[in-house]
Amino acid sequence: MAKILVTEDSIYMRRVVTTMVREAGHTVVEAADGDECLRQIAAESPDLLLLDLVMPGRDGLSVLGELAKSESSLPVVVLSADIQESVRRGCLELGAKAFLNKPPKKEALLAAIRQALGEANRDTER
Amino acid sequence: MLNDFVQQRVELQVPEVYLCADRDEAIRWVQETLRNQNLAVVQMGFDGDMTGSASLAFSRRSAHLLASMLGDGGGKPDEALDAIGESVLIEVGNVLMSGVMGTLGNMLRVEVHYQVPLFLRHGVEMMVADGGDCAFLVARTKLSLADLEMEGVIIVLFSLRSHDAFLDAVDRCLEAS
Repeated sequence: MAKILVTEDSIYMRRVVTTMVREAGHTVVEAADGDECLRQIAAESPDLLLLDLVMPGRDGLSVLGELAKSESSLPVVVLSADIQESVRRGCLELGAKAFLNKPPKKEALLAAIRQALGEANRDTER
Repeated sequence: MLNDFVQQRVELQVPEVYLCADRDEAIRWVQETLRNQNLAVVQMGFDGDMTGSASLAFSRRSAHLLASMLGDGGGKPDEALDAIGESVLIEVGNVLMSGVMGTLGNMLRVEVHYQVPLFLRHGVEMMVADGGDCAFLVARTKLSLADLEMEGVIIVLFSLRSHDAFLDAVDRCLEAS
């Protein structure tokens, strides 16, 4: 199973998502904003990032930009209430593996995590 | 969206949408709908192709119902919401208002960027506090959740410049259809 970093400023939504992820057998690390997210990436070396977009301070798009700039191989699944097509497209162009709308359905979230981890493993093996 | 949160069927009455001429008229709409009950309000600013804010007001009773259903919290119904309760309302508000604004944006081909949603403790006046040179789009609807009836009002406040941009986008959309 994987170590997953959940970055979400809402106490309630962070609890919902971490519960789903832990019940699937993964280990969870948490962050409440973009700067804490980047610190946790450096400190914990997670296998995957679940990333909210609208957060105080550094937002999710900025985190995606930093990861793209550093050519990070960390797979990212974006979780957002934003349903604008332009935003979804922008996140995928910045390297996100998937974009799910909130509140996430458990099966859709776990499937996106499995797919992103699977792709990352295949990239590592090449 | 809301039914995804509560895992139950949510029935939504067809919303009434009204463009209010000024701040006082918008306040009257909210007060008429929620009958001067204590309110729980979530507000989210936005900028980009349109500038303004969206606010969602629930009666305090409805807010406590949602908070206890989703967050196992909320606190006592006749008291202010606790931290978990506020977090629940903020997230429900975030999803509902992003849905409204995002649907408008996708349809009208305009893009907005959201600010962090906030919980307002000072009621309906704070929903329209920055309403100096603004137009007010008010949508009110009733939600039925299982046997519980909840009432909510969404107000979208556009700056005057954005109001014109909004109407231009509506015109373009209608011409293209």
